[in-house]
Amino acid sequence: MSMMMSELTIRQTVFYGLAYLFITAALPGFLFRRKLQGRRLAQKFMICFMLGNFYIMNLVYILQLLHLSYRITLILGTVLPVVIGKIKMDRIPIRAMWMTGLDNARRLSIHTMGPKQLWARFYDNNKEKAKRTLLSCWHGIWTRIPDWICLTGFFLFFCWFYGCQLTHDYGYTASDVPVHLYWINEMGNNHIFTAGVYPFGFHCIIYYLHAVFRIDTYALLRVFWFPQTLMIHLMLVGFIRLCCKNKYLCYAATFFYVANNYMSVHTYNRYFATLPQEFGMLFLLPSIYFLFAYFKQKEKELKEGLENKESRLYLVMFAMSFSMTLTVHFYGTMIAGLYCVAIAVGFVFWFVRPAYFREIMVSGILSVVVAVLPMLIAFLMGTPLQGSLGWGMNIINGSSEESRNAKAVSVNEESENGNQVLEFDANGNLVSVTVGDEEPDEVLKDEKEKKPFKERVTDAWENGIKKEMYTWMFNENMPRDWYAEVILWIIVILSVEGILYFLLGKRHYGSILLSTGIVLLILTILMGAADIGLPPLMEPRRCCIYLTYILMAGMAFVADGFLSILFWAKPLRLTGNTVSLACVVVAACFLHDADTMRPQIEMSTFQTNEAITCLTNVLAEEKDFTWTILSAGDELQMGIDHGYHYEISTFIRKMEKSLKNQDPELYFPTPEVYVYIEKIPLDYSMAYQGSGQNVSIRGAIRPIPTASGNFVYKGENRWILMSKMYCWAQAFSRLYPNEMQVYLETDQFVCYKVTQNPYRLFNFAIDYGYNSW
Amino acid sequence: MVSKRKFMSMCLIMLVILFMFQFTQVIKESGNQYDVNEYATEPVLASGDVWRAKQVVYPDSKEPVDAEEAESSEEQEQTEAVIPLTQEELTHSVAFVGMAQDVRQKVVASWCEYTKRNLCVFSSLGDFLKENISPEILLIEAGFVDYDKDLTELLSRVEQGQMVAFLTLPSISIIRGSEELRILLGIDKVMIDQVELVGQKMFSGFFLGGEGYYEVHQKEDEEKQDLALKTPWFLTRRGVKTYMVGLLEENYLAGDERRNEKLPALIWRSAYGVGKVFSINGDFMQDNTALGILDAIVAEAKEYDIYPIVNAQNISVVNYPGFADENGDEMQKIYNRNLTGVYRDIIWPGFLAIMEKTGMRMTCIFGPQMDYMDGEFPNGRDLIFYLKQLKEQELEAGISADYENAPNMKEKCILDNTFYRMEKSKYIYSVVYAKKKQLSELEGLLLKEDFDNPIFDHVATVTSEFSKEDAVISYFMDHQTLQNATSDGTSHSFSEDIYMKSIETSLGYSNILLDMKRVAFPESVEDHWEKMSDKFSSNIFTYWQPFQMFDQTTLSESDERIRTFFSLDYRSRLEGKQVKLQVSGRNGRPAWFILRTHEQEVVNVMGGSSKKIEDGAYLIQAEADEVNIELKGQDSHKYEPDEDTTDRTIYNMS
Repeated sequence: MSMMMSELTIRQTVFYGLAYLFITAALPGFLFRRKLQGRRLAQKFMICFMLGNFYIMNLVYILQLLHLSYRITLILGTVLPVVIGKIKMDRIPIRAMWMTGLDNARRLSIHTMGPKQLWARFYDNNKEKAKRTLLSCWHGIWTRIPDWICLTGFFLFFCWFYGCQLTHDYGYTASDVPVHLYWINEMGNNHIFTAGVYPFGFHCIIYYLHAVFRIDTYALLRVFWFPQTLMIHLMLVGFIRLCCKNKYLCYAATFFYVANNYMSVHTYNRYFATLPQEFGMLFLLPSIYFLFAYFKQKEKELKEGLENKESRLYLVMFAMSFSMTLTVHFYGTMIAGLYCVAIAVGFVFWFVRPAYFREIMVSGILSVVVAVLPMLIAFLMGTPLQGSLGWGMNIINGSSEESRNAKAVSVNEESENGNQVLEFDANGNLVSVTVGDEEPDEVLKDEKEKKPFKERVTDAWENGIKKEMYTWMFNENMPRDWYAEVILWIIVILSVEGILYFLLGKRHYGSILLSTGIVLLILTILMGAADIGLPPLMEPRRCCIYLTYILMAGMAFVADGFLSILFWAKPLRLTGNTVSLACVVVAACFLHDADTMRPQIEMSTFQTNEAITCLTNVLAEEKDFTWTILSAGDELQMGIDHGYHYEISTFIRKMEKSLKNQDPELYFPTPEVYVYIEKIPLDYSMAYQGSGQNVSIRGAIRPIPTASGNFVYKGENRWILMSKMYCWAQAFSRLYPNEMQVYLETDQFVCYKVTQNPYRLFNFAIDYGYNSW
Repeated sequence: MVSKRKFMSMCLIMLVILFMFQFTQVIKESGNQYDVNEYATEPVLASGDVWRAKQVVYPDSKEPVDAEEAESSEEQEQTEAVIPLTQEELTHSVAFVGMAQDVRQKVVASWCEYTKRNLCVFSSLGDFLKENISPEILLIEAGFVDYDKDLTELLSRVEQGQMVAFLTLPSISIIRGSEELRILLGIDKVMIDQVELVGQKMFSGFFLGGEGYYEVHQKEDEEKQDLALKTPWFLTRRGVKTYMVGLLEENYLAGDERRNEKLPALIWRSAYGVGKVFSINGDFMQDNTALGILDAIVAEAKEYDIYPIVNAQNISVVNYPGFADENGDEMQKIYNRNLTGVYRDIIWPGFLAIMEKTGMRMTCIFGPQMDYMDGEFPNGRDLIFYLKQLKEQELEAGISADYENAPNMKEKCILDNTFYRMEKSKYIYSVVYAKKKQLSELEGLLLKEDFDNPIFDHVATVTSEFSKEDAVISYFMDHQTLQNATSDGTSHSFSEDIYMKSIETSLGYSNILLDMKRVAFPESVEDHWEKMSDKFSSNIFTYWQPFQMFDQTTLSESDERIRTFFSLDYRSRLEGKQVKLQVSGRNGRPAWFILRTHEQEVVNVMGGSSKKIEDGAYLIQAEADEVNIELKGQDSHKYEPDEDTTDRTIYNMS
């Protein structure tokens, strides 16, 4: 019986998501059940989730650095601490339990007790506990019915919007996923930092799931983005819920975040890929929340003279979360750091006090040390820095062209008339030509310096920040003239509300609002930093993702601040909650409109559905290492644990070279060889003039592309290679019509399966009529 | 002290137990109709019902027939034979270029009969090319080709899709001298004119039964090596698929990582344009081994192939049991028993164990007496014992026309007939065994020329000795089939293994014939039962294991299948993923076919059933005249891609 790929993908997503949550949330929850009693559900979840992720990341780090990372060590490293911790924390009488177990076994063996009696004993002993747990669950559901309804509604919409991509497009939507796949695969050989020192927190988690649950890494990276994105949204829900006074605004804000059509696709399209930057977002808001919670708790402890146990816990959790942002991706840390700066301003009256300052600084430094330490150890042991770290530093320093304008590319050419600047758009079209002897940047700089401050600020807003926002942040199909101003208004309102609450004595809450307003202001400025002469810490197309994410919290805080003032009195709190619930309904109704509700989108993928389907089938149907896939680069890492791969660029080059040398030998020493050919080659991150055309003889007669790396599979090069491979396949199937069968064919793609005798291999180097020689 | 009550109870229990044991025996005895041969049925089909292949012998154009000479009867026959095949007949025909009536042509003719193909025989390739016909396959003997004149035209025919098989290869000098010929044959270069092989290897997928590795590794295997070990060493070109290679000593190509690909090719296929050329470098086509090779070649050349088979696996134990205590001194010396004792106490349990383990079914060909001059007479009690045993084990009995010492076959038969009549046996014997040299004598007896022998009244099939050259199955007389042995049971040399696999591939048939006269009249230690039994059982357990999916039959059952096999005709075509098979002439009986699919799986059969023999080979049982065989398509994967029907805007992350 065959199964649809969509069904398989759904099963995989559910299983992988549950496996991840089991390890990172359920196990810590089980271990710290008693310690977490009495806390709010969202807080419990955040603590468990942070503990779980932090432990797994560092466990993998340690085992990898010790070259001891195997399934068994990972399982032991997970199970043993849980078992020992549980026994110690819950004071489980393990000896007595062991004796009882032995006694039961003895009685069972001598038939003085039957299985029924044993079950009855077990039932009697645990009846009350089970009853309590069930009641507690029921209580949790019954008392939070509006929450569950909102969550269910949100979840259904989330599945509708994101699940569509999951079930219809099986490939990776980002070009760098295969690189991460390669790094994770190398961890299987205990080679961490294989391409240089890089934040590996994300890779540790994926590797752990792969190693412990025996999940194929390629499949994990294919679908893990779905649970990851869901968790990012749930973290937003939890963060708003824990910070706001009104219960249901968190759902309204998150629903607005996932469903509104005002925001540009750039603010969420990276969620469709399993990438470290987005994974790092999981720890962004929790780290901020724990810092908020710390201030509140510390103040309480200082006021009431309590032990500082609880505030320490929050600080530790803050350190862990902040550390993880750095362990996973620098950008997350950057945003968390900026939020911390905003908090330092918002909570300035607490922050400057030594009791706070010392603890916060120590925990901050420790969190950075914990995150950096594994990388530092590897660096000191001689592993160089990974290339993208240098690229990241260039972005921060502003020396990258990409950071100036990611959409445009400038090329300086020396001409007879002097310096000539050619500007191209993303499709490679020439947009403008600037001729002059003077450096253009210098001209602009001088002009800027001549303008008065007010004009410069207006110019920075209009031509810098606003331009970037409309380029990256807001949907160009919506009437958006005033959207950027809305952000300014939110910042202003948050600041006013913050000060107002501060004056009204709700200083902690006011500081939260104020800090959020400040961070939104910083991120808004960061959006256009390059245009207004500030260091561009982050490209606008990445910054807008964080800005939108935090903006949702900001919007919720605006509404919460307003409702809290409106329903200030305690008896009116229920009304406030009701109104906040109404906000969810209003948001749902408002976004129900076809224009305002975000339509389903499809992200272009870097692998065809057919290629993924074929790979999945090959893995399921063939024995390991009895097959070779001959395809463009990506399947190399996808099936590395199960079979062999050969790149078509190498294949064609080698075949032609060997034919030239009159030594025509090219063998694949496996019984099955699968050949993947895209009949309509993909635009692999680069379009070209003939994009979307079929493979043809015109392509096959072209010389072999000389580009290196994966540029050989980009643009026209891919079409040339695929055309050559198609012609080769036709010629080879004439030689071996029965041995070369079509495995899967659609209008876009064809996969051939060549079955050969491993003791007398076929020579794949043939003269297919279009060899270059 | 046992009380009366207890005593009564004990007696009652003893009675019940006695009754229970005896009752089953009584029922078994009374229900055993040992005198009825349930396998002997009146044959419906005879030699007149056989589907005859059209055989057209084209005259030699190089030597035009003289008008006067043509008047001679022989030439007349030849001239009369040239009635060209119709286009329809040509689509299912074979052209043979070679010497008419030579051993290869005879084998090819047999193969054509078995696979229901017509045959055109040409005395030179030039004659064939002149006729401008496109047979399904062109079989060429290398000596009948003019390489200067005909090669270009042959290349052109192959390029257009003509399938060719060189049954023998041209001489080394011709191959060396002609680039065109090398391209046609897929030979890159001639490494050595004649190389000494240490063995041969046949890869799986060519014959049924898997890979064959014919190299001597142990001293005991030395006697098995009977293959030709001197051969020209050809290196094959790109685009060639090799089915059989010669194995070299290790010092050849030592350290060469492509050693396997450079081993001397013995059977291979090259491609030129759309056509395929098969080359056979060896003497495999001189006997019935060619049958399987030709079937395998056609299967390899086509997208699929289906051909009829017999589907019968037989064991014939001839001259067993004997009912007279002959050669008593020798038997006492070797086995400490008389001959009937040896047969009953030593050999019979051994046979039963083998049958039990392998599931094979034996036909015992009774030889009441071997030496009719020694004064020992057969004992009727043993006849009934064996008939009962055979009935219980669902086996069959036949009669042997062979003897050790008798005036002649007629005398022997008279004496045997007297014995059976005296024992009042009504068993109908439909199987008779005779040696090759006795067949003509037997023919006379069966025709009742001068003697009416009632025990031959119902003979439907004749079985005879193992011979690679004679037809495996044929009509012996109008109403009697001949089933020659395909193995003698105790010997299994490398060439016999190839032969056995070839016959299984071609006909799904085997007849292991074990002559027990060797035990009764041993000539060497090798004829002692313990030795024979050892070899016989180990051969059956080892070499016939891959063919267990074929039906195990007695010779009478096999005879019925052979008659159907000979009478049927078939046509097949591939429509999408369905093989449509049309069968005629099966007379309401099931017919069996082998379907070779190149790794494609059979999903469903309408009008019959299928059994997987091995990857890409299926046994099809046709129970209707129209059979639809559905193959697994390329869309039948474990995981299928979904059709994207949603209309969504496509975004690019970069």
